[in-house]
Amino acid sequence: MEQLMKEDSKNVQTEYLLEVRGLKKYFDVSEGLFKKRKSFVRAVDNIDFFVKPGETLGIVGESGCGKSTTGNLIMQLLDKTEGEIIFEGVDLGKLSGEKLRRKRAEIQMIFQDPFSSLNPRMRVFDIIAEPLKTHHVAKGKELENQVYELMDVVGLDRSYARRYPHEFSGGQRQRIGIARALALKPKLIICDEPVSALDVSIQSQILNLMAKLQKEFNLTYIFIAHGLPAVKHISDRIAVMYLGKIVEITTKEKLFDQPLHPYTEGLLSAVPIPDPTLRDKKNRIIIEGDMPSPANPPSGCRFHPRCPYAQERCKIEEPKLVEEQQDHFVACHFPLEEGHGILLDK
Amino acid sequence: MTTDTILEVKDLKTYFYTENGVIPSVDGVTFDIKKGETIAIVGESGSGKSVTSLSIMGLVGSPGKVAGGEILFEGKDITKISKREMRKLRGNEIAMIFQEPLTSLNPLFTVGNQISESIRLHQKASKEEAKKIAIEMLKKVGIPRAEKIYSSHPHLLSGGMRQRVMIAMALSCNPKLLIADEPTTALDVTIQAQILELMRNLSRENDTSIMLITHDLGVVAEMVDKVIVMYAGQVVEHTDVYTLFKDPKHPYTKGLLDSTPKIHELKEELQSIEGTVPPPGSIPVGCRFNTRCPYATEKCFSETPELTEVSPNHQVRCWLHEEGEVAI
Amino acid sequence: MAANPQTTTGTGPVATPISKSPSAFKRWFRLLLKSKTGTVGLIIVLTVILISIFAKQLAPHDPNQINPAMMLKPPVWMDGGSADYILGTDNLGRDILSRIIFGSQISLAVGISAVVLAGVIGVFVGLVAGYYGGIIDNILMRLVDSFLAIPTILFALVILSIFGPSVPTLIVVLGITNWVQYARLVRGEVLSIKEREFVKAAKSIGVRDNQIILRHLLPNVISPFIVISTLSVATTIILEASLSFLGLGIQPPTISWGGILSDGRDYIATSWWLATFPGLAITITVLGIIFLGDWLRDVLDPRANNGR
Repeated sequence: MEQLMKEDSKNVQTEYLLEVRGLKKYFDVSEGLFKKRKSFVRAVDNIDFFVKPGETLGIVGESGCGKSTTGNLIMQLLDKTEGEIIFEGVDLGKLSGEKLRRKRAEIQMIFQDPFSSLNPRMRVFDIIAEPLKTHHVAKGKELENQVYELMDVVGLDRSYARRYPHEFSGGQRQRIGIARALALKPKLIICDEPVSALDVSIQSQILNLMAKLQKEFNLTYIFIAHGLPAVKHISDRIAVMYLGKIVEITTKEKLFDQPLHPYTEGLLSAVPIPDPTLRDKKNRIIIEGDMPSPANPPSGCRFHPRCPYAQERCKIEEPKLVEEQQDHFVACHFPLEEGHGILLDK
Repeated sequence: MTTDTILEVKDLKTYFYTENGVIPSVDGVTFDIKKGETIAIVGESGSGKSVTSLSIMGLVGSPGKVAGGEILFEGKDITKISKREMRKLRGNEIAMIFQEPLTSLNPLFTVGNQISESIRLHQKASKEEAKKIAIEMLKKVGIPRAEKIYSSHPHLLSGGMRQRVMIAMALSCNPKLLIADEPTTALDVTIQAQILELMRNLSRENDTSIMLITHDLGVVAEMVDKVIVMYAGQVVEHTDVYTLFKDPKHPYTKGLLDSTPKIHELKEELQSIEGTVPPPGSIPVGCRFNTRCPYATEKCFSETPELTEVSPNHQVRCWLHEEGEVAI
Repeated sequence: MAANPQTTTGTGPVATPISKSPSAFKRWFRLLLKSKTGTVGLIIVLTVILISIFAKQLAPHDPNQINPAMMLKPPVWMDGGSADYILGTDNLGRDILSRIIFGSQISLAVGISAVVLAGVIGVFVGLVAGYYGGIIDNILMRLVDSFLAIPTILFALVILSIFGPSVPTLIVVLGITNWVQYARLVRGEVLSIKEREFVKAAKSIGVRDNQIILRHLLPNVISPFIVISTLSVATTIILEASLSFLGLGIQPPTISWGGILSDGRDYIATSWWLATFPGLAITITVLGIIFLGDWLRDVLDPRANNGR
C-alpha cells in the first residue's frame, strides 16, 4: 500500500477526488479527576483509501467499526488525531478560516435519521435555503427559484415549501435532506446510512433517487452503511471496516464474488437471502462472539478472536492492508481462496 | 379447530380512540399458528403488525382497545379473561421479545435477578433452583461465562447479549408461543445471524411456536413456514413462505419483494413502491393500497376487496384475482 | 384493468404530506379554543394587564387617600359595608379595591421585568455553556452552582438593605437570583439538542457558530424556557410580595400587592379582608399565568398542530 501511495502521489490531482492517508482518530476516555491513566478509544486507527471522481465508495462495517467517525472526519465535523485528508489535491488539515469553509462546502453530507436531521422549527423552504444563504449564493427571487428547483430535483412538490418537517414521512424528509445537501453543488457527498431508518419500499425510492442524482450532477458518493445489502446497489467499490481498520477494499463484483477476508465472508453470509428455496443450500458461516471494545482491541489481527481460520501468527502480528490481487486490497495473513463468495448469477 | 392449533386469531379489530376519531390500527385480522410452527407477520411501519402482537399479549394501552374479534389460545378466548389470568398466561404460556432489549430490561437490577424473578413468579421454584435454571438458560442461549453475566447489570452488555438475555428470560418458562417483535432490527448483521440461528434451534428443540413480526423479507425467507402480509391494518396476503416468494399475488407483496435487496444477485434491479403508507387517520376508500398500486382500476377506488382464496392455502385481498389467477 | 404498470423509479413527486400547515394565527386560535385552561389563563392575564393599564380610570378612589371616617369598613355584602367601598377599607380608611387595582401595576412590572432580565442572562449563559462545552462550560456552571448555594431571600434581604429598597433594585435582585435556573435548564436542553443531526447538518453546510446558536439552538430551547419563565413570573410576584411583607420590598406610597398584604397582617384576626383580597389577587394572577404558560408551550411547538 505504501508503495502504491508513492506512485499515486505524483498525479493525485487528476486521479482522485479524495485521498485519505494514515487517518487516525483516538477519543480520550481517561477516567478519574487527575487522569492518572491515559486510555483511548481508537475509533479510526490508521486507514488509507481513495475515491475517484464520479464513483461511489461504500464503507461497510458493524457498529463501533469507525465508519461514521471516518465520515465525520472527512466532513471536518471532528478533529483528526493524525493523518491527511486530501480533497482535490489539497490537504484539508492545512486549511483554516474562510478557505476551509469554502472548500468544505464542496463536501456535503446526508444523514441517517431523517427525523433528527431537520430542525423541527424550520420550514422546508428555510431548511433548503440555509446553505444558499450561509454562503451568500443567492437571495430574494433568485434564492426562491433555486430552492424550488432543488425541490423539483428531489421530487418534492413545491407546495410543501411552507410546511414543517414533522408533517412529512421519513422518505419525504430524506428528500428534504438530500435537497439541502445538493444546494451548494458539492462534488462529494458523504451519505451516512441514509436509508437505514426507512421502510423497505421507501429505501429503494431513495436509493434510486440518489443514483439518478449522481448521474445528473456528476456526484461522487461515500456511502456509509452497516450492512452490505444497502451499499451493494449503489457502490462501485466497497471498503469493509472492522474495529477502526479497513480489512478489505475492492470493487463490488470482487467483494461479493470472491471475498478475501474472513470477516467479509461472515458479513456476506450473515445477510438473510430473500429466497426460501436457498434456505438449506446456503453455506452459513456464523461469526461467533461480539465485537471487542475499541478501547482495548485484541493483539495482532483485531479479528482473530472471532475468526474461524485464525492461527498463531494472527494473534501476534498485525496484518497490513496489501494489494493481494489487482485492485483488491486485504489485511489478512491468510486470505481466503476462491469459492467464498455468494453470487449466484455471475 | 384441530388440537395442534395453538393460537387462533379471528377477525381481530384493535382500534385507538383518539381525540381525532377512531383509528383502526388492526382491522379484521384472521390467522392461526400451529404447534411448532413459525409464522411471520410482515409489513412496514403503520401496517398494524406490532399492534396485532400487542393485542395477543393483552398489552394494548389506552386509548387503544380490542374492539372486536376473538383471540383463541388453546381454544380459550383470551380477550375475555381477567387481567390476573392474562398475567399468568403471559410469561408462562406466551412470551414476547422486543426490538430494543435495553428498554425492556430494568437497569437497576442484575440480569440474573430479573430472569430468576420471572422464573420464580411462574414456576414456584426456590431461590437457588431459580438461579440454577437461570444460569442454565443463559448457557442455552449461547452466553459465555453465564455465571458472570448473571450478576451483571444490563447496560454493561452488548446489544446482542441483551437480546440473548431477553430470549433466555422469555424461554425460561417454556412458553408454547414466542412472539418476537423485530427481534434483530436493532442488531448488527453478524449478531442478527447468531440470534436467528438461536431462535431456529430453540424452536426445533422445544417445539415452540414462533410468531415473528418483521419488515425484513430476508429474515422471513430464512426463518418461517407461513407468512401474513399486512398493509394499513389489514391482511393483504396469507400463504406459505415458498408460495409467497415464488408467486406473490398482491401488488404490495410483489412491490415489497422487488424492493428488497438481493445480496446474492449482482445484476439486481431495485424497484420501489411509489408514495407512502397512508397515515392511520386517512385510510383511502376502496382498496387501502389503491394510492400506491400500479394496477389500480376504478373499482379499487370505490369497492373494498375481501380476503379471498385464490388457490388452496393462498389468500389475497385484491380485485385483480377476482376471476381466478392473474399473473402480476 | 390496467395491464401496463409503469416502472417505479421513485423520482416523481411523492404523496401529500400528512397534514397541512394552517396560518400561525389560526393555529393559535384553534389551540386556544382546544385548551380550556389556556383560555382561562389568557383571560385572567389580559384582564390583569388591562386593569393595570387603566388603573386610573377603573379605580373608584384615590388609593392613597386616607379617610379616618371610613376606617376598617367591611366589604359591601357584610353588615356595615358600604357600596362605595366594594371590598372594604383598611386601617387608614383607604379603599382596598383601588389599592389592589393600582398594586397590579407594580406587581406585574416587577414580576415580568425581573423574569426578562433573568431570562436574558440565563439563556445566554446556558446557550454558550452548553454549545461550547469544555472549560467555558466548566467556569460558567461553577458560577451557577455558587449562585445556587446562596439562599434567595437572604441574598435579596442583604442587597436590599445595602442599596435601599426601590423598584429598580428589586427587579435587579430578583433577576439575579433567578437567572441560574434558566442557565441550567437551557444548558441541559442544548446538550441534548446539539447532539441531534440537524446541528451537525448545519455545521457541515458551513453555518457559523453564532448562527447555529441563534437559528438552530435558541428556537428549540425556547418552549421549555417559556414554560419555566411563566411559572417564574408567578413565583417572582410571590417573592416580591414576601419581600414587601417583610418591609424590604416596595415602599409606600408606591403600592404593590405584597405591600397591601403586609399592611393587613396586623388585622387578620379582626378584619380579614385587608389581607385576603390582595392575597386572592396574587393567587388568581399566578394561576392565570401558569395556565397561560402551559398553553404557550403547545402553541410554540409546530408539532402540536392538530392536537395529535
